[in-house]
Amino acid sequence: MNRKIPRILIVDDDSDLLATMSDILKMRGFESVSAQTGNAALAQFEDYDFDAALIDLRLASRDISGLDILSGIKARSPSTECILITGYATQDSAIKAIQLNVFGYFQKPFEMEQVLLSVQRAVEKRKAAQALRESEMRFRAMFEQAATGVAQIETATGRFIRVNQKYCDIVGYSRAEMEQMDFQTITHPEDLKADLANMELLKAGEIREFTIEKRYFRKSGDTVWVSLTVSPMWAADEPPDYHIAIVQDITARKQAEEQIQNLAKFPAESPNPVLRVSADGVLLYINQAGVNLLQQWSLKVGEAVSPLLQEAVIQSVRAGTTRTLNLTHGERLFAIYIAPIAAAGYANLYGHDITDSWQMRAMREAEARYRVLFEQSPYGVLLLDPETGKIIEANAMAAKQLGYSPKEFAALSVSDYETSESQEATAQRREKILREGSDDFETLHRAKSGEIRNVHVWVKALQVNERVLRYSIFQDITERKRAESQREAALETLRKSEEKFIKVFQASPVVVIISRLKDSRLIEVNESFEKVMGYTREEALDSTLTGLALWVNPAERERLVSNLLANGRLRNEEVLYRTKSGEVITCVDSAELIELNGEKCVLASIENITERKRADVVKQELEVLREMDRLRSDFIGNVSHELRTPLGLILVMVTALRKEGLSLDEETTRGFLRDIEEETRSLQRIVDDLLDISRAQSGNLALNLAQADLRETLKRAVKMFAAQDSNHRLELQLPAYALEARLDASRIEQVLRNLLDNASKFSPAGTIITVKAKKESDVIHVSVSDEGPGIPSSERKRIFERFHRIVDKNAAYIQGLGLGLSISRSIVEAHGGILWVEDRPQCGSVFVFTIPLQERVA
Amino acid sequence: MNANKPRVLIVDDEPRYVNSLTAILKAGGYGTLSASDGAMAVESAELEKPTIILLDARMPVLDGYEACRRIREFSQTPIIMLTAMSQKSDIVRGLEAGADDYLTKPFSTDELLARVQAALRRVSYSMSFSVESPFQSRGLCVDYAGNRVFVDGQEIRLTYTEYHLLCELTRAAGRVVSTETILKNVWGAGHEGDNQLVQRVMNRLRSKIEPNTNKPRFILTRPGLGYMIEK
Repeated sequence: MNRKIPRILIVDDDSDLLATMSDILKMRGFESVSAQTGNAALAQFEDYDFDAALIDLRLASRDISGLDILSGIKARSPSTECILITGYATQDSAIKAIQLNVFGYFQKPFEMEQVLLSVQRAVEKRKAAQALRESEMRFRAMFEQAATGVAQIETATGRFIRVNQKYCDIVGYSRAEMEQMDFQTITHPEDLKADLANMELLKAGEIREFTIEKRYFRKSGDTVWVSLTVSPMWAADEPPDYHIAIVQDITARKQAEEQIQNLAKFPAESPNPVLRVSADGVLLYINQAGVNLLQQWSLKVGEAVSPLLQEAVIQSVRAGTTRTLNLTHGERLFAIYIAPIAAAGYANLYGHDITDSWQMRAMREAEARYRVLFEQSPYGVLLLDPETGKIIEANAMAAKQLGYSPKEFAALSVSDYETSESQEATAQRREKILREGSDDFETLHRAKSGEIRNVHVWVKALQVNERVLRYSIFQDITERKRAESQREAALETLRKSEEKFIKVFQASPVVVIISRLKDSRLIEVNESFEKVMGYTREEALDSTLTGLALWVNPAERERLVSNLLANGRLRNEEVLYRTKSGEVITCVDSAELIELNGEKCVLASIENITERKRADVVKQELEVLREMDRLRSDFIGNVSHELRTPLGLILVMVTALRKEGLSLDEETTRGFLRDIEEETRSLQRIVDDLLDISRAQSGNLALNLAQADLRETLKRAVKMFAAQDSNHRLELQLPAYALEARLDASRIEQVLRNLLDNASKFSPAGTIITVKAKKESDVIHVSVSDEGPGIPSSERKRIFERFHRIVDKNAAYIQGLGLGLSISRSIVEAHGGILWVEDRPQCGSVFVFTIPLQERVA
Repeated sequence: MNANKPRVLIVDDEPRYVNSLTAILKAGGYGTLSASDGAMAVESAELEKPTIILLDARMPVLDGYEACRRIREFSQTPIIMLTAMSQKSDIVRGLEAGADDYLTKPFSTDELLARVQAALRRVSYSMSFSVESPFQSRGLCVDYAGNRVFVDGQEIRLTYTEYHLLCELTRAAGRVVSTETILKNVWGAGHEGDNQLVQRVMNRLRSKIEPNTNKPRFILTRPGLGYMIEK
């Protein structure tokens, strides 16, 4: 509403008056709008805002009364001041008009000047009201939308009447909560006093407003710094009913201020040097702590700082970034922190004595390094109290080496795991460590499992504060020890075996020689060589076996050497040697190729078996003699049996024949006599055989040689045998030509009888026994074959031995004395022939003998 | 063949012996059987139940000693071992195997017939009926009527020779019987001086009836005199 010219509504049914009034108002600088009726007047409010209205109370049109117009205007524009003009005045209408809050009331005739003054006043009043309203609206807007907290507070009580949202935000309460509280409640006690004091001044009217910084407690319990401005509402000079409090959150600023304050305070009181250096490197200020540095760093206030520092400051200010550099001061080390304050054109330098922290860090690093070494050491490391033997600290490896967990190990004492030491040894070592500060030794530790481990221990005394501790490092060397002892054992074994070899070499009853392969020169011979071969060691060395003429058969050497080279060794070769005395000895040689001092050599052992051989021969002969003895003893048994049977038969039969009262019939009697004769012949044959074998043995087997046809002899023999053996079929195959020879026919018959006897004895009944004879070059060939099981090859050779008889498991004994073949062979050989058995296994046996053919001289 | 004739089993692997002994024993009035080895002998002894067995010691398949042992498992028939050897060991072996007597080859017909008759007598002795009251002492009981022997109520099986030997002593109970008397009465003539024969058969008898042969309860030895059984 920015109208400069006040607008006045004039309501009167008198048009002349209206015109006059309008002119007058115009002249006085007012704009006027006329209305002749009430409705017209109210209608003007549709289009205009009027500062004041002059209303004739009694309108001629009487559409509505003047009072109605009044209330209608008030309803439409409450700030429009109404001035009533009436031609007649009644008490009622005056009261009503006042009740309707009219601005002025004039009775006709009125003084125009008075009316105009009233209008003037009304316009002014409205203007003021208008201004007030605008101010209020502005306040309201400000109140509500302010970035600051605003509150209307009842001055007397301090109660919040109204608060804006911001206020609520600042103190953290809702609006409703706020309107139940007073400011004292939420003001920080430290600030309340100042606040209340100002309020008193305000109430007393001594001050119109005040601003303080104070703290509120927020609903959350924290404090909030605010800037508070308090001013009374409305009344200027009177004590106010209400006042307005405007608060602004200044916490951030406050904190900044505090820092600033601290900073401001810091340089002077800081135990560390603080310097202010201008952007061009001139020292502006230095605090007390920094004074000490002045000389050291050649600093003077008002002069340039050292080039190093100057450079750093200039760069820092130019770049607007902080910088740090380290400077020493005596033995102290300072870190200088350069904080540029570009706006001010200087930089603050804060020095910090970091000597100790450096040392600490160095120590910490050392400690860390030590820790790493300690913990990750491949050796057991432990720190112990030598007084008590208690372990103070041990690394994991120490525990692990002994099979403990680190926790278990920490609870041990040295004596729990150290085993090998006698008490004196322990005491001696302790003294040595104390005396020399360190020691290293090997000892034994007992692992948790009870296993004893070898360890190498390095011990060092360590001064820690007031105590002398022992720091030991131990390495498990069990495996190494084991390997060492194994190596030693191996060496010992080797040494022993060498010794043994030398002993064996020297003391061996077997001749042992070592000769060079390339030239056969003897490098070493043992004592047995001297004994057996007869040559002294001196004679032998550098000579050869050939040179010593030891070989009986020199070609042997080549054979043995080539054998040795082909197979790498020789085993049990029988060799004849001639000793120095000329005696020939039988030896068994074994040899190996060996390497000696880088040369290929032959290690040969030569065992003299001459005696053994001799003994073997004796043993064999003894064996033969024993066998002979056994055969002889068997023979005697056989002879006794062979003789007893016929004799026993003869005796029982003869006594039967002679016994009186024993009625033998005639047939039995004849049979007995025949049997007695037969048994007697049998006895005769045995006796003959015994004589023959005896003669053959002594070479006195006499033959009655005569020219004869062998066919006749064979025929006779077969016929005779057929007569006594009815169990076999006998076949005689003879050539058509004569088989002339000089022979003893009865002896040849004896041979044939023996062969037939055997064939009959060893072949089943019913089979054929064949006798064949033929001429073959200059001999007569006679064979006797049967269809029996044949003669096992193992027996073939022995059957011709005296007394030998084939053993038949099914027979208690074999008849005959085992002389037949032996006698037969002797007979055949005496004729200049030979007797053998054919090698025909499983096909019956074939005995063959030859007699030299001797044609009859014509 | 007369069924009452005693039958002799002749066992020998030498057929010439079997033939001649058969002829002689037949002429002597005996029935004969023959076998040429031990196994056949055992079989024949079981099947033919001969009265007496003449058993050659040396034979193939099963020798005389083993055959004797097997026959003794089922038969009390008197066995006379024929042996070509007169060594004591052979005789002892035969007696221990259960033979009652032996004949050493060569032997005469007289000897042969005498032994066979003696053996036969022992059989007939045992087979004879008797009205004597039984002998009873210390748990040993000889029932003469039934030809049975009991020790502590347990019947003991004895060969004829063993039974005959036991009866010699029980009949003379309380008196010492000399070895000579025993030989004469049990084996008959031709055994003079063969104390070993008595001793071996006595051992066999004792091993059958004595609970402890080391401390005889029944048959007591009187060294140098003979044997006796207490009344």
